[in-house]
Amino acid sequence: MEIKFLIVDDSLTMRRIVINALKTLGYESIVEASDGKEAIMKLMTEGANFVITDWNMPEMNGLELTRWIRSTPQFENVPILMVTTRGNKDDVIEAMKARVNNYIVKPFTPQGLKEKIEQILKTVGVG
Amino acid sequence: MEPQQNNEAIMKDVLQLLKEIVPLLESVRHSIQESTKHIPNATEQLSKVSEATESATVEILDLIDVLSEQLTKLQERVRTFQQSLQSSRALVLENLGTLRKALTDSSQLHCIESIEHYFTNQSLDAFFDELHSIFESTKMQYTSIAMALQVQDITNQQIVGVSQIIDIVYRHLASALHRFEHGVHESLPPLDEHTDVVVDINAQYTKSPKRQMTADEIVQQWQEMQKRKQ
Repeated sequence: MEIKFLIVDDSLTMRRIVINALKTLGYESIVEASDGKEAIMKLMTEGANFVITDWNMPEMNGLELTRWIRSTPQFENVPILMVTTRGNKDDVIEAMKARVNNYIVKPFTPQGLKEKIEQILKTVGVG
Repeated sequence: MEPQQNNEAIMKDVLQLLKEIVPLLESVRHSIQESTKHIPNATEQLSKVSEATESATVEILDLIDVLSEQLTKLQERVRTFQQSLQSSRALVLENLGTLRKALTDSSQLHCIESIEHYFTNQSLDAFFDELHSIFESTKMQYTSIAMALQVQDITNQQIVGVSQIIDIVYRHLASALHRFEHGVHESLPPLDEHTDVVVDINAQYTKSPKRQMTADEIVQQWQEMQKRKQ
């Protein structure tokens, strides 16, 4: 099954960087959104089976998006990787409670991104 | 000293104090007014810095994309050329083999063997391998440049965070100024447009793996705990 990524970040720079890294890793099917609300719209209209989201965003943040995905039967099993600058223990715990599948602290490396994606695919597969 | 005389002396002191305080307060008011005037400009400047750096970063990312694409095309052309060269070499060797079988003259055979030797031992493969290795290494360097540009997002969060703090100070100063001038408490002025944006002012651009390692430990512990629960 082809993996279709949804990249959610309010920073255009970060979206471009994540997409660049994914393409380097050989992933080509990618959609993007600038906040949680747009991400929901993209999930509904274009679909995606792997979400990579930032935490701090206007309108709807990454944590709220995660909670929405986990409470929506149609998307509840979609893997979610949080990529954020927030590196405090409490932040990671809060994200895990919201049921993200893994957590990356910015700045990340392509290798780090690859490892986390592979770990998720190995344990839960695609959504 | 009589009590009445005592009161008069105190009153004189108070009046003297007020005389000294009023210009001082006026000077404070003037300072606050002047500082407050500059604050909106400061936040606007910070906002412009953010926009300019994002725009420049996107331009760099565009260039990286173009260069990566050109490098990939170049690599494909080299690969095609390499394959064509290999096919030509195989054909030449095959034809030389046929020619060798048809020849009986020893000097002509020697000549054919020399050409065969040249084509067999010519190590173009090593040259192409090195070329492909340079291509891959250059691609990695492009990716590293793109990754380093994460600094823009991280510093932008810090700038927006500072902007928000300046806005809050401005609102409080403006309110204090209003109370000073009109003697009534005024509700705080509206927040600047950036103030409702949630940012991580503690965002760090660091290559140290410490923060990621801490996150990994927590994720692992959490996942093990979930497994035990199941």
